[in-house]
Formats: sequence, structure tokens, C-alpha cells
Amino acid sequence: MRISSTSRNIEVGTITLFGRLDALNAPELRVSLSNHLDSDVNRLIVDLSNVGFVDSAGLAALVSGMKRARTEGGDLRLIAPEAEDAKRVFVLTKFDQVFSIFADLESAQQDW
Amino acid sequence: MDLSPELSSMAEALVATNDQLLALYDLSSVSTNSLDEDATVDEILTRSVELLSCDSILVSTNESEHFNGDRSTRQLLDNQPEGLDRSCLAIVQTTNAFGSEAELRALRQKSPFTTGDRKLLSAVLQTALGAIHNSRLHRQSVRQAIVAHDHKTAARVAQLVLPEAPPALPGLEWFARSDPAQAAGGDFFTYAVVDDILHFAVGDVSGKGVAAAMMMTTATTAANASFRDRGCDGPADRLELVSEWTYDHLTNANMFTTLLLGSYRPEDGQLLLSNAGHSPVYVLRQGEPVPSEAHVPPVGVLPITGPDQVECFLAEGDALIVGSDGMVEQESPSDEWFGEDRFTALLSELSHKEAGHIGAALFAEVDDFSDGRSANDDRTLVVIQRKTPTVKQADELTIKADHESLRKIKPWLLTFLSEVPEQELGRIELAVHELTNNCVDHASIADGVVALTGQIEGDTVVIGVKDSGVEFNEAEVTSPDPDVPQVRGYGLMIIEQLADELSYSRQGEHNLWQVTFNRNHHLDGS
Repeated sequence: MRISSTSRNIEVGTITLFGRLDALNAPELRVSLSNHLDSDVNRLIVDLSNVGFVDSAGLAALVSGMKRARTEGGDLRLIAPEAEDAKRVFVLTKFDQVFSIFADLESAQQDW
Repeated sequence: MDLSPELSSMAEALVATNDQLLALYDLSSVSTNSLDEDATVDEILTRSVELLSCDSILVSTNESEHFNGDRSTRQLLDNQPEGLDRSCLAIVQTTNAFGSEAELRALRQKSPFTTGDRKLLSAVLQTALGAIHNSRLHRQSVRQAIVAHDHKTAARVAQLVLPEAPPALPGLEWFARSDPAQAAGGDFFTYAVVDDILHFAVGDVSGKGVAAAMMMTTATTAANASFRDRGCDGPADRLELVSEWTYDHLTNANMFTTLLLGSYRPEDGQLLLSNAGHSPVYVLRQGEPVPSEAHVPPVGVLPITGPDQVECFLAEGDALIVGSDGMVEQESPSDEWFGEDRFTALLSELSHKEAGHIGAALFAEVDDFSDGRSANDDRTLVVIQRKTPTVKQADELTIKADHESLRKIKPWLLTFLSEVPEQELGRIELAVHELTNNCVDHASIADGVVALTGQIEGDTVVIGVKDSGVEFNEAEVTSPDPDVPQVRGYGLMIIEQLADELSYSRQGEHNLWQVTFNRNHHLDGS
């Protein structure tokens, strides 16, 4: 998985993922999310539009980041994956109803 | 010569005519503003009373009365007493295009009605009748739309009792389709798999439309209940039971239903049939269609007690073909029947084909024969064919018990599931990935490897995952609370939703997980 991380301003961090988000590289995502949160950036957007597969370990990394961000007064928003194999795990676990999921970066940034 | 009186009179007439035209325009705009009869006619009469400075106007039709004006004058309009100045009373009558009579009465005591006033009152009556007619047409079309919507909903709900997915039972090929002639139909089929035996029913409730569809749901429910009745020893017992449950209901509704009940045991091809007046029923044996006759009259004609049943054994490729009369009684544009001869000739031609092909071809032939003529009756066809499932074994995959090696699973699945549609493969991959990941994360595997086996048997895919880790203890697994997002514990929940079966056993020093997918069930995108 390739991770691209940017900050639009000091308040919103955007992490763009490519490839698979699974047990192998979920720890890498956890580190990236923690780095943002440790820097007091608790408004996070993770772009999954280029991710082809997500497993429960990848989901766990996102859930962990979302819980911490919300605890600290922010949130972790998702840009929806296009691949069915990436959407499936969210639907099966009902996390598609827990995360704030947006169609693109522009709509994810609204209100922030 | 002084022409001023003539000119003055002509000018007054022109002004009066112009006023009447404006009044008519005003009235016509009222009548198109609303579809409510009372509101529209009241508005027309209110404006007419103002325009003509009337005391009151009464419009009567066969079905309604509309009055506007001074209430004290209503009796004068109704009774027209002898002392009433007739020049102050206008009565206009008409008959509309549908033969209904209507009348307008107007009273203006301060000045007599002119000829122009009376013409305008005639136009008022026509305008009011137009508004009444429009309103009634609108109400009628709304009622018809509601009834049509109810019919459509009832039809859709009734058809929902028919199973969509084929039976999940190795050893048979299945085709089933029912096309109602109208939105709702009385044909039905249903099945249940109990103890590796397929129990099925095919029937045709007399009549068509919503009534037949309602009774069809009763018959289908009764058949389904009979499949689960442990007291029944075979289709004949079930037929007697279904008759007992539905006879009074059918008789009270003056209806009956043909019904074929059967069971098929893939293990040895045993087929049992008990038939209450259903046709056509054929057993296609060695390419030869053999008719199966009814044992008793349809259910609801007479109480059924102790019906017979017939037993035969299907060989590989043999099939049971159950149609409904809509298949064989379809008429061509030249009034020719499709007929059983044509039906059986086709069965002989198609006998070497698989169930799905036989069913689709029969429907296509009947469709072609009808050549655009609408269906005479519901068309239903069920094909049950004995087919020994082919077994395909995949090469075993042994991977290191680490996260990186999990990525070898998808390429391995593709070596033997390459023909599986992408979405089905995605589901299988996620379940196997999660299962293997659980072994890697929790089993503390002694030899550091996980072995995967794969097998396809007909439409069933079975994947085995074996490791030498510590024994799995189900008591240690807690299901996630759906209302509380948590970071861990979703693996098994995901697998259970994706797979048809998940089993675990401890074999010596090894954990053995087996996950089964039926391609006709979970993996069809539903």
C-alpha cells in the first residue's frame, strides 16, 4: 500500500491510500493516523477511492483512528472506495453507517 | 334625422355583448382552476350571481344540487309561487352527452332577465356541468389508479411466495419459472430441502388474477408446511395433509387447485410423485418422455384420503418435467394449440441437455409459437434433473503464518476458481483471508505454516484451513456489540455472513476449519 499524506491547513489532515488495506499494512496506517492526532490534527480524511481491498485489520485501523479523533473533538471521514472488494467489509460490519463517508475530497472537506 | 337613440341602443347592445363575453371568460377560468366539484361550482355560481346581480341561482343534476345567493329566496326557486313575476325567474334546462338532465333556476326580483341574461345563464349551466363532469372523471380516474395500484401490489406480494434461488442440494440440476398471464397468477411452485431430500410442489389454482393469486399463496404455504411435517412418510401423505388443510377454504371460495407433490433423493435418484390432477407431468428417461398420470382429482374437488404415489429412479441425466396447462394450451395467431404432442417432441429433442437449457428452450418455443398473441394462461415449468456433481480438487497451498503471505491466497483461489464471477470471488477471498488471518493472529502456530485446501463439487466451494496452533476455544470469542464500534473481533462475524457454512474441528495436533460456499446462495450478489 502506498500512503500519501497532506495537510490542507493546520486543522485537516488528508491521507490517501492506494492498493490493499489489509493486515500487512494496517500498522502503517495506524502510525500515520497517530502522527496526525499527536500533532493535534483531529480532523482527518482518509481517501479510499484508490483502494481495491479492505480486510478487518484495515477496518480496525480506521475505527481506532476514528474513535480517537472523535474523543478529541474531531472526526475521521472517509472518501468512499470504488471497488466492491473494498466496500464489502464496511457493509458486513455496518461501519458504513458509523463512518461519515463522502463521494469526493471536496464534499468531505465541507463544514470543516 | 336624429340617429343618436339608435346609436346609443347599438352601443349599449355592444357593451352588453362585450360584458357577457368577459363574463364567460371569467367563468371558464374558474372552472379550470380546481378539480373539486363543490368548490368549483360554488365559485362559478358566486361569480354568476355577482355578474348578473341575481338574488340566487340553483343548479340541479341527477346526483347533486348547488345553490348560491340569498337563502330566503331558495323557497321561491323551489316552489315558484303563483304571485312570482315570471320575468324575474329564469329556468334553463339541458341534457349532457351522457343523457343526464340538468337544470338552472335563477331569480332576480329587482329587474327582469333579458334575452342576453338568459343566454349567459345557459352558458353558466354548461360551464357548471363541465366542471362537475371534469371533477367526476378525475375522481373516477383516481379510484381506478388506486385499484390498479392495489392489484399490482397484491400481485407482487403473491409472487413473493415463489422461491427465487434454486435448491442448495448437490446431485440435481434445477430449473423453475412461472410467468403469470396477468399481473397476478394462480400457478405456483415451491420446495424445501429436508435431510438431504428435495421436497417439491407444483400447482395451478383455478381462475386467474388476484383471487387465484391469493389462493395460490394459501396452497404454497400449506405445501411448505407439509414438507416440514415429520408425520408424513412421502408425497402421498403430504397431499392428503394439504387437502385437509385447504379443502374448506377452496370449497368456500368455489375454487380448486391441481397439485403435484414429490420428493427427490440425490443419493440414489429416487423420485416419488403424488399427483392431484396436475398436467403436464413427464419423466424424461433415457431420452424418452414418459407421462405421469394424476392419482386423484384436484385439491378442493373432493376430500382426498389415501392417495397413491408412484416411485421411480432417475439415472444420470434423467429429468422430471412439470409444466402447467398454460404451456401446452397456448394458442397461435391462427387459433392452433401448442399441444402435448409438440411439447413431448421437444422434450425428446432436448433430453440430452441440462435442466436450465431444457426449461429456457421450452419457454422460448411456446413464446415463438404464440407469435405475439397474449398468454392464454399462466405458464409454469419446473425441471428436476439428476446430475452427479463434478468434483475438482485444488492443489494445496502452504504459506508462512505471517501477514505478508496472506496475499498469496487470491492468486491461489484464481487457480481453481477462475470461472467464478469477480463478485463471488471477492466474497470467497475475503472470507478465506479473514479465516487464515485469524489463524495467523491467534493460534500461536508451532510449525509456522498454514495449509489451505480447496474443492469444488457442483455449485459448492469448500475451503479448508489447517494449522498446528493452540486449540480454538469458542468461549474466548465475543461477538461485537452492533451498537458499540470496536476495534477488534469482526473477523468471524464477517466470515459467518459471507459463507453458507463454517465448521471447526480439532484433529490431533491441528485445528481444521472448513468454510463452504454455495454459489447459488450467498454468492449471487444477493
